[in-house]
Amino acid sequence: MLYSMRLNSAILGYGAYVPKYRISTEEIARMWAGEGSGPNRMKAVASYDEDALTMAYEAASIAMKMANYPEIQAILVGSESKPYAVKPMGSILSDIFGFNKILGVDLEFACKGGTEAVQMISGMITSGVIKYGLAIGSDTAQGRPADDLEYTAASGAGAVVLGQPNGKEIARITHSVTYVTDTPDFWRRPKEHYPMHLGRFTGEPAYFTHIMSSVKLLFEETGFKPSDFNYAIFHQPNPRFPVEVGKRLGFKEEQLKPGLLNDELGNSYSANTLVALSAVLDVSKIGDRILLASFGSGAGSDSFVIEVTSKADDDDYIPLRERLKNYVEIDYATYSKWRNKIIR
Amino acid sequence: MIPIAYWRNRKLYTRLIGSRCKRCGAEYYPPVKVCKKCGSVDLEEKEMPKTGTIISYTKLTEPPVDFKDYSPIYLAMIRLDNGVTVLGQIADAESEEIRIGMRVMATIRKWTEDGQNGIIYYGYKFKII
Repeated sequence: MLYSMRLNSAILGYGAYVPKYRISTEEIARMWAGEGSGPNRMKAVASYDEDALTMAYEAASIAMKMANYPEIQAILVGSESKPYAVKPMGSILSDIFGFNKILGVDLEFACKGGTEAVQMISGMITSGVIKYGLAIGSDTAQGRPADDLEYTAASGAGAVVLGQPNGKEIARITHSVTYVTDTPDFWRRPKEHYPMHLGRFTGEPAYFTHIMSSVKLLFEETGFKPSDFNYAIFHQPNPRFPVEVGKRLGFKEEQLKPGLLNDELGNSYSANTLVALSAVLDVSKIGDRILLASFGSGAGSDSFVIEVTSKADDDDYIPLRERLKNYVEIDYATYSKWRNKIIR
Repeated sequence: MIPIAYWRNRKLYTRLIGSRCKRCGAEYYPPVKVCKKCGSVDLEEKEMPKTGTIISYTKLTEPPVDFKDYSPIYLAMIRLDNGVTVLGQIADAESEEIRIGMRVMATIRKWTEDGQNGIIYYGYKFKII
């Protein structure tokens, strides 16, 4: 199914949170294959006292401060690793931020829960139902020990505070498109700790078909072409796929490079493209245009046109790539303990 | 922990809600019913600042049973920017990096949980900035 929407919402603040800890894929390979590495160098690992909710709070706090703490009326949290199967993060976060007259809801669509939140809140703002909303993607992604996914399944959170354009916004979201089909590339049944996937099937019929379909429709709807964008962000399940899909769609490497983070952070699922958006907004200039296309297994892709209108007004803000320089590497034993891979 | 007691106090644990004396302006965390400085009972809720300075710390290698899996724990006395002193854990800390005088910021982390099927208790911890 294809549908598209013209939007008129504004990014008033943005934030990304990546945990302090990393595990190298060489260390994971040492455990299961004796040698080698994964497609990426490292992945970010949440500490023992972190989960999707605490990371969502961290990312949202950065975004809320940048937006000067507006009166939020909706918090939507995309995640496939909720701390509770039943008990929403949206309500817990609403309480922590002190907003109770609010829509506080969780969303799930594999790796695109975060962009669904952006799309839905943008829709509510464009239609005038709410003035301000907080969209978050946060995950402590799980990979079965020794599975290919274990090399990339990582932790992180991204958040944007959205509101009506007021002349002081950082960027405007002007258009969005979604493409969805029933594609069994990746799934997790109830009560299962780890997801299942169909290996190479996750490439062509899933990732590439859905992202290319949504981006091509976005081009048809808006009349834009790749050269109209200064930056392009594609979901990053590994370092290769976003570069390959960008190339197929006609983007150049320099349009992609500022948002590429998989090599050092892995795939933080629902947070993936929102974390990349933070990195791109950090370096973008007024007048720049950004294409963002997420991918969620199951499967679907949300694409957005984002136009940069001003720089963030927050003296305390530290750009994402600056913060990423401060990390600590852990071994497989510590990673196993912290991410509940040891049964007692 | 007891879920209902945690729920009643959640504003203290997640938002650092303390109290402020309306008569003399003294601030407290945790909140008090009677001002220790002027004796007034006219106090209001006050959210504490989220930044402060480490004034003392210790490494706990034998923490209470609820926190056993998280050992070692780094506990610190933090002088918040309004002068109020609070006790809190330092998150993401390696023992060799903590110093008295370091600036910290409050964040939300898991304190503990009632096993695999019980409540997760979230609350403030401080991270070095």
